[in-house]
Amino acid sequence: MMVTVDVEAEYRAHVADLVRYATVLVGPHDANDVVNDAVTATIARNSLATVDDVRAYWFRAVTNTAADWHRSRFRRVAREARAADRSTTGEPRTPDDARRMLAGLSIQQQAVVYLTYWHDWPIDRVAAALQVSDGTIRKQLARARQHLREVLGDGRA
Amino acid sequence: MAEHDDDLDRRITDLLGLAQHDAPVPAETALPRRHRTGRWMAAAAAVALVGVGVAALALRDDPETVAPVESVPETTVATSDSSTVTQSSVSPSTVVDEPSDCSAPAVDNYDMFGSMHTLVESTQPLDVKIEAFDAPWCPGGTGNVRVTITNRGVGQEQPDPIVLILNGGFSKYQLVLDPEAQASPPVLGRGESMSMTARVTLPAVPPGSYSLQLYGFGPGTEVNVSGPPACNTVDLAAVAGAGARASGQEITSVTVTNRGDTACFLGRPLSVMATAPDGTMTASPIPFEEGGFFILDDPRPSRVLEPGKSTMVVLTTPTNCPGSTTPTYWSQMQLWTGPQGNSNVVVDLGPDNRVHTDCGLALSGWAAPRPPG
Repeated sequence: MMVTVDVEAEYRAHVADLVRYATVLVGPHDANDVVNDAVTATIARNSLATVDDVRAYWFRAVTNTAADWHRSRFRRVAREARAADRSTTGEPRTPDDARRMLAGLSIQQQAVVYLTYWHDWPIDRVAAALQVSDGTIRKQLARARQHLREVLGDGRA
Repeated sequence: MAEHDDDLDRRITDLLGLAQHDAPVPAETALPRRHRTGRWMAAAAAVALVGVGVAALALRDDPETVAPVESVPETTVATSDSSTVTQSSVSPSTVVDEPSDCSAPAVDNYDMFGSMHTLVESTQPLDVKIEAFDAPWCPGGTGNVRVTITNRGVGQEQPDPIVLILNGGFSKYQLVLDPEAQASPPVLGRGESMSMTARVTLPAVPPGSYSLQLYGFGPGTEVNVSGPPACNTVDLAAVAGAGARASGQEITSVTVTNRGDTACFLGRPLSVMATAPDGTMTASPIPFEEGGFFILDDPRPSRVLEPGKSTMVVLTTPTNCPGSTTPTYWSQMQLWTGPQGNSNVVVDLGPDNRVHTDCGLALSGWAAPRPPG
């Protein structure tokens, strides 16, 4: 179905949320660049007219761009984050602490957790946004919760 | 799906909130396009802050403006065949020959700047050469640059307007160019080049080594911004004075002292977090207005703090907050003055300072404490 999308308005409406999401995935210093790369790519592909949910589409684009970011340019950072995660448990005190804890999850798991908890998206919308099945989302969410339960501790210390 | 666990759910939500608390302001509120750069992170808002120890209230609409940049850009176009470049000036030009200037206050234009981000790297076949003159440069000072762009492609190319970025890795800052130097460069044919020389003004960036780049990526030239390093949290002692009330405002003055052995650079607060008496920290930064000033003293968004010397900042919150029935009075506030998170000013609020931020918070600049007596 071809629809008319007011891309400018969509961008203005969602860019702040996208940047906050990207901050969780890649940190504050590259969040803007990741969002811009993601959005620009979708515009360049001229694919928005075929999308029903532009917001979800851009969240997926940011997820994929963040995954590329981790894979290609900042493997060292990811390694360090994973290494740090092994020793990061208990209550996070700083944003860096929080991101280190989340870095123990895969990008897809981070995406599932973020969209489910922060934006209260239902399973089927998360699944549609990430182009996987509902069952996959449930499994990823369960694994992510298990991991976060371990790194956060029981919270009663 | 995992079993229901309200406590875990709450803590995951808190974790996500904390992880994004320092999210930057979106670089664009309009659609990005190639080479488009971010807009200023924060424009100075109309701010009214009360001076310490006085009952007067001062208002100022725009606390700082960028000083005019005395630059005379030189634009020349060189034409060439595929291998040899022959310079041919197409317009009268004047070479900037003023030396760099570190004497100007290093802070006056900081409010007009912030970290910024570039977008998509150009695919244009342009060679870029950037030269910086008259080192060392200093925060808020001026310097001279020359930018040379050569079209190495086979067709005509239109370079985007010149945007010079100081890239510090974690933060990027745009330099102020003379308006004339910001005009669109000419269309360059195959093998043609253009050069532009201009005087630039630096924002009050933390001293250190930066890469000076066109548009914020690609080949650049190293620029050392001289000055002391950013202040470290462990070297900063912050003491909150007794709270005061005037003109409908709760006023808390905080004296910050450099306990270290060397001078350090204290940037303007970029983000504010707070801790409640039960030890919980805010999950997201507290919005605040900035740009206020002391009536009698010299307010600066950032300053160099010598060993043993002090500076002050004023926290102001409205006295009347009708929408807040059970506010949380903070026991500690953290003023983040750098992107690394290790240059925070940690303020323990005494029992006399009943600071809550339900109805807003304003921060003054860094001011020199008034001399005793």
